[in-house]
Amino acid sequence: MKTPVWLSYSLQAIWVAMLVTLFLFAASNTKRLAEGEIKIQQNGLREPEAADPTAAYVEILLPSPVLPSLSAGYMAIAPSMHLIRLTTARPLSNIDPIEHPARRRFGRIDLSFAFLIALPIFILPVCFLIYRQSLASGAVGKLMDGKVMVFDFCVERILLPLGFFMGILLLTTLGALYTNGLRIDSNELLARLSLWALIIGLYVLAWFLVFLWCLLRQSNFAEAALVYSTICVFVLLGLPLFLQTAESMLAPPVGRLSIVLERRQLTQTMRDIDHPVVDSYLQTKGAPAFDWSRPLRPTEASSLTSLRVEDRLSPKIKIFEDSVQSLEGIVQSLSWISPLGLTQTAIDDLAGTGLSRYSKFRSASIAYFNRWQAYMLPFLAKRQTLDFDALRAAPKFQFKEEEPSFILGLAALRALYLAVIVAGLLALTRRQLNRILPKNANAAR
Amino acid sequence: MTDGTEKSLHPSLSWIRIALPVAVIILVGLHWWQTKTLRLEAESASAMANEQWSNHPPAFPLDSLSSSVYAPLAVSPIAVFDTGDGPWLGSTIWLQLGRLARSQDQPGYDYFPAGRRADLSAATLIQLVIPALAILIWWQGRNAQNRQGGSSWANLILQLIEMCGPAVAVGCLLVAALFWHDLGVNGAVRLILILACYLLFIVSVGSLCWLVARFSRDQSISALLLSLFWLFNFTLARPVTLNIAATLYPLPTLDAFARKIDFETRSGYNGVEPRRDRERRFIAEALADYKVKTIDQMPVNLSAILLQKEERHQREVFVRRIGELRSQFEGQERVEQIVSLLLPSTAIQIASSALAATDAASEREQLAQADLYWDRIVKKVYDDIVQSSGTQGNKILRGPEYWHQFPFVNPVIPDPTHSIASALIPAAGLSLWAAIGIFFAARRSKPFPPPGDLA
Repeated sequence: MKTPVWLSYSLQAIWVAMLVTLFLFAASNTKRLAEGEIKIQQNGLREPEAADPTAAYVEILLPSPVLPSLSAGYMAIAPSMHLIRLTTARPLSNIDPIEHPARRRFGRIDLSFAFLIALPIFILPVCFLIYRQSLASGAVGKLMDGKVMVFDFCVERILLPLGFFMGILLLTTLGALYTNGLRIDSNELLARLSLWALIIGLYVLAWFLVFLWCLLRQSNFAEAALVYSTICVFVLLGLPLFLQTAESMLAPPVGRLSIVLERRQLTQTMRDIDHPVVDSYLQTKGAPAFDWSRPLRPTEASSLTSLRVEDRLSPKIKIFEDSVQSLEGIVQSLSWISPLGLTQTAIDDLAGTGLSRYSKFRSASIAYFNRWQAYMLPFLAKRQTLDFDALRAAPKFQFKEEEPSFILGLAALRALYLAVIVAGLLALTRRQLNRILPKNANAAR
Repeated sequence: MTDGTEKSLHPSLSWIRIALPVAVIILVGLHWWQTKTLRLEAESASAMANEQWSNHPPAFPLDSLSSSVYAPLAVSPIAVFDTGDGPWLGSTIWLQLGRLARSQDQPGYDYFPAGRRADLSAATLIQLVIPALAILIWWQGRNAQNRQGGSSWANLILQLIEMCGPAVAVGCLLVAALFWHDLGVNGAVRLILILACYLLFIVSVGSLCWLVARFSRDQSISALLLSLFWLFNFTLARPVTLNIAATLYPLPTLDAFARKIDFETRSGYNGVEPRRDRERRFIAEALADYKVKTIDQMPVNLSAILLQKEERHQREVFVRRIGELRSQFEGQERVEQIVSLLLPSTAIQIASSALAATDAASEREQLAQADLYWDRIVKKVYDDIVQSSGTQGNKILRGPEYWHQFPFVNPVIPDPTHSIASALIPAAGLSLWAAIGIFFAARRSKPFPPPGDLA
């Protein structure tokens, strides 16, 4: 059945409009998340203000991601603000947005989602329209008869329409990124963006090649579409879901419930302040003995109890933290198995919203808490208030970002991984092409 | 409606009959381990929390109330079949005088950012495989049609039931066998409803495939439409609907929410009643309640009354704001449910997780149970404080004896009627597709139209 030309062009226009809408929606969603992150940065209390060492606290913050508009990643999923106080053993606060758990579980629509999940699906009708137009114009027949060179056919019938389609997407993406405030003001940013473009380009090219291979192999659009869909479902859904299950099995999460309940119990049983026990505890922490000359204030008594409780709980807390790290390590490692996972990880890392950056921040905040405790304990023991100098001299949190060269190197390695897949697909496609093209067409090639 | 001429699935694909139930058994087994861990932890934590609750040290009741109380959520046994929105999300109820919990101390599994993505459960696998098999059977029917005269609606549905039915049944039976003692009538009803929903899903998916084949004369377009429809259903539908719902019903940030509660707690609704004005109103109300003219004539202590009334005020603020939040969540879910009328995969996901009691609505219902329980306790404690104050009051109540009158909260999985409310619209969507299929199949008098392959 021949599709009228006007209908074909109308369908193409509608399809492109739908895709552009999705990209704009994705970009606006990503921007909203990035703005939330900026708000957290603005409202954070970075310097301690209270003079009482038992009440002084500071909020430490992960600097905003380098390119948040590229991918939401773990933004607003992993905490980017931790509350550091003397009496909390686990200095990590959860600043989750109030969100429907299903949304967290099934994904936010951001630019990376549009490129990595939506685009492979949107490719299918685009390929269908190109296929139909090539058939209707008789170009395929000419190719099979050897009247047209393969190179000419590819450029004229495939690359030009595809280029038009991808050009619109590119312009939309660039416009959205520019509107979201993206400006290239350093070489590092340029390198990150270039690698992002390379990875996205390879990823999209791989999907086009998968479809082309399916089409050449089946020699029938309907069968090719069904095989392509099966591959899509496996790569975009089946494998990532299975890997998530495997990760939970390999590093089963440890619950915090028992820690919380034990904390409550210990707080009740250790409420009585025993002088030698407190002094011994402070000594183990490198702090001077407690000044018992004056009666204890309720806040001081509460702090001393809390500190000893947390000390008792520390082995369990360590097990919990280790399990978090173990799971995160496994997630990073298993991402190499899934092309989607690998591409997502690469884009997240380039955008500065990857899991590794949040994990690093988590470890840095624990290390900072130990410094904070070491600084505050002598004030508590000597029962001194924090004057201006003491507050100013309090340890400052400085997050050492991951080395840009390391991030870029890793991204290049991941791009290489994708390039190998693309090369493999090219070889497979070429083999299929050789199989179906007549000898004279091969000669023309 | 049956031609009686068709053959079943191609022999080379008959391994699916065995592979699917085996995969379901493996996945149920894997999640059984997860659910068992959660349940054991919840049980031991519940026992510990219960013990702490019943062995309060002899303290003033308010001291006990002001320190937090934890109660583990009940874990649905059907989570081994369909993990829904869990199981590694929040698993604990926090109770603390009705105020907003300090988020840094909230227990639960939601601390694992890496563990928050959806995983592969038996239900997810079945939801993926049923449409894939429907397309496969339809495709084979199309090919066979050239030789034998085509397939029919009934044959397609029967083949789908034959292929996927055992896997669904095995999954449900395995749940029943693994949690025989914990399932109860509630669980049994849920499992039966889940089976019914999957049957509807099979019929609606089969109908959709059949309808596309019935009305499309072009094989390529049929394949394209079916592929696109299912790809969209599998990968895009849920995120798209969830994100649209989140845009239509936006939620506040935790920080903004806490600030709003804090502001209204201090300054009254919309900031029109600061604490001083509020106290004046409380005093006037107290004088009217006790029918006296001056504070001295009151039989109880005024400060106890102020404490009681202030607590109610804070409670009202909290309940109002939480209620708004609940409405937003429900609005988001309603949007999803309505959209699911057109998207069978979204419909079965929502219906299945609701009936498995692993969706957010079931968790919210448990939180509501605990909240109601906590509200009653707090009200009773403050009433007792007022009654025991003043010159004519009784002795202040203390210690475990006082707390023994309140059995510890024991959240339970809501009854199936609650889940039916969530699953009704999605199930209606599935029924709609099934009904359309049945309607056209009943009217059909001729086999498939000839394929128009252009290749």
